[in-house]
Amino acid sequence: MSSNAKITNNTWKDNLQKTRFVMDTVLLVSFLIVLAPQSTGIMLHEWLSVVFLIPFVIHILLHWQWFIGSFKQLKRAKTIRERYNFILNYSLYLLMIFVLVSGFLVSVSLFPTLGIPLEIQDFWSKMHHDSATLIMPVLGLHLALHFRWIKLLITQMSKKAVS
Amino acid sequence: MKFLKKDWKSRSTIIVAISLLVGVLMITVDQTQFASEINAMGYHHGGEGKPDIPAVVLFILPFIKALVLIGVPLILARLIASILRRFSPKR
Repeated sequence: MSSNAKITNNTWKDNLQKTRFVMDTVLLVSFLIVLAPQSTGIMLHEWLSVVFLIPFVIHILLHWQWFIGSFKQLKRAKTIRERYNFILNYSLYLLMIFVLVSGFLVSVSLFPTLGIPLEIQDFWSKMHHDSATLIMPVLGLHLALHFRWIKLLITQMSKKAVS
Repeated sequence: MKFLKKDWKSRSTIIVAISLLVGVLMITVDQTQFASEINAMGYHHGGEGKPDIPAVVLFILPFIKALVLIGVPLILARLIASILRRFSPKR
């Protein structure tokens, strides 16, 4: 997740930074769609949440090296930014798992369609609603931390699109 | 997609396995006193019936809510970071 990434003029599939940027955009857009069950309807919301797992796993795969070295990096971390990044990334990961798990536990369409009976608890309804609300500002902070990288990639990719 | 294809099967298996384990551990939260209290009190969110606003607005509003809840902390964090940079001693 380096901000000083070197961008070359090849296609996005051949460049790790560009691949990350494109896949992260897909992740963000799909997340925004999943975050609006009132707009999509509950049935679509639940099925799209399952589809959302693909860009979510891809995001982790594309940042695999960070995850592998994250605990060692935390020990060597000199700046507040590095420690904050570690805490924020893992909080976001855990929160995402919690939103997904609580969402599956209050499923009214997905599991019944698959023939899995589910007794919905009010506790999980509340947890799903509250955690889905909480994940949005945490995501905002995550984006803020990588804002320079996002800006750099937008500039580089728009330059290439123009030329 | 060469970056994605590298050991993707083993890596994806690890991600899914860890996530499933974390997820299963999270499910145990419903055995706590806190969960029992919420279940006893009951929970309901959202009003009864449809609000009297156009369908287009009803469709757009959840997206605006998400954008505001993501965007405001993003802007505030950027603002705080720039203030801290301005007042921190230069290395």
